[in-house]
Amino acid sequence: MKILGISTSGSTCGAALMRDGAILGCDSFPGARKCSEELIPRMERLLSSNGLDLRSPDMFAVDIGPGGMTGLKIGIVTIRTLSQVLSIPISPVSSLEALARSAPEDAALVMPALPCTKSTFYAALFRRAPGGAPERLSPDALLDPGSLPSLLSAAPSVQPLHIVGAAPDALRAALSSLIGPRAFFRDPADSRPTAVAVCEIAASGPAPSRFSDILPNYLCVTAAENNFGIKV
Amino acid sequence: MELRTIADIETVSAAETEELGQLIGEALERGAFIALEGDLGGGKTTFTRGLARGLGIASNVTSPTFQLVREYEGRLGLFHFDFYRLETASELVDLDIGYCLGAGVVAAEWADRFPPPESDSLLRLRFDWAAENRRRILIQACPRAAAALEKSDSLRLRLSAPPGGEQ
Repeated sequence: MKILGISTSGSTCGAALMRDGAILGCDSFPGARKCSEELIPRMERLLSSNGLDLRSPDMFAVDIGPGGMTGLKIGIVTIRTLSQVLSIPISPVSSLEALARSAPEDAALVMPALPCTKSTFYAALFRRAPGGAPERLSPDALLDPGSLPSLLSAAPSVQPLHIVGAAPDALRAALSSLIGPRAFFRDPADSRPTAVAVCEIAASGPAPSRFSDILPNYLCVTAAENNFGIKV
Repeated sequence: MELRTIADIETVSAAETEELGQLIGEALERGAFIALEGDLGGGKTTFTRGLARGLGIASNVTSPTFQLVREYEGRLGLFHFDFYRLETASELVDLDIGYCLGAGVVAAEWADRFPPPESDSLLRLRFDWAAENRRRILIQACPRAAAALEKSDSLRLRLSAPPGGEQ
């Protein structure tokens, strides 16, 4: 099973190639907003350096957000188009679930978080048994510091919480005051959604979908929804 | 955010407007939103050209009216927006303005079309036409932005010069 996975929701984009559970290669490049120039060439290089091309994957895996909308649009449209033309199915993956995988192996309780505005952020809660993959405890949501107590009630109250991602100051301050020494913040430079995690989640996830079923999970109301009443 | 007028000056040429932008660009901190208001030809893009120079950006800065936002890399990322063609504030969400403010500074032309986004600091410049090459520039800043600008001796000197530049 060959999987080509991409992630374009963060400030760094990535592409990764997996075959039968093993990562053959991955590539990262900056600028989710500008990744339209780099995305396809990087995907092609990754494939060709392994003797493959765009028609080779059995499945595409794509980060559907939440996160930066410009990057998400670029990534999702690229993969949907390739999927449609090449008849290759797509596995959609949550950016937060992919981010949760960059927590330390021994972190039993993980909160992946990505900034939205100065005081709002996207976050979810996951638990992880030793040696296992993160299991979701709450849905991906757009939150503010006031919604934290209710989010944290989904988790055991004595465990340390590992926050991975670029946690905005408002989130840090709120968590520190709510759970103090139980909050551990990973350096944002170490923790960003990776295309590798996207492949891993796709490999062990439900059967992939048709391109037309793949939609972004922005969690924000977009201008199109506002202006035209179209629900994305 | 509470804004206080910190200067009300005149520039006598595009070069002077640009120079003002450069001095401010050198003093900017991450997370600043610079609201640029004023009619066509008022100096908003000229000012931003200077702002970019002050941030060490070598690329050519042009009006983002049609692209909506242009991005430059410098000491801080500069995200040059133009709200002229936007119809609703939610379009700013689509353009990832929150991300931009986290990654660098945002300079927005026609900023008066919408309420300012949440930011760490707010600067407002209003450009008015005084004569063919002369522009009147009103500068307002929130306390944090004012403090950042205060650190620059050359800027403080420039802002305290009498109207029309050095006499």
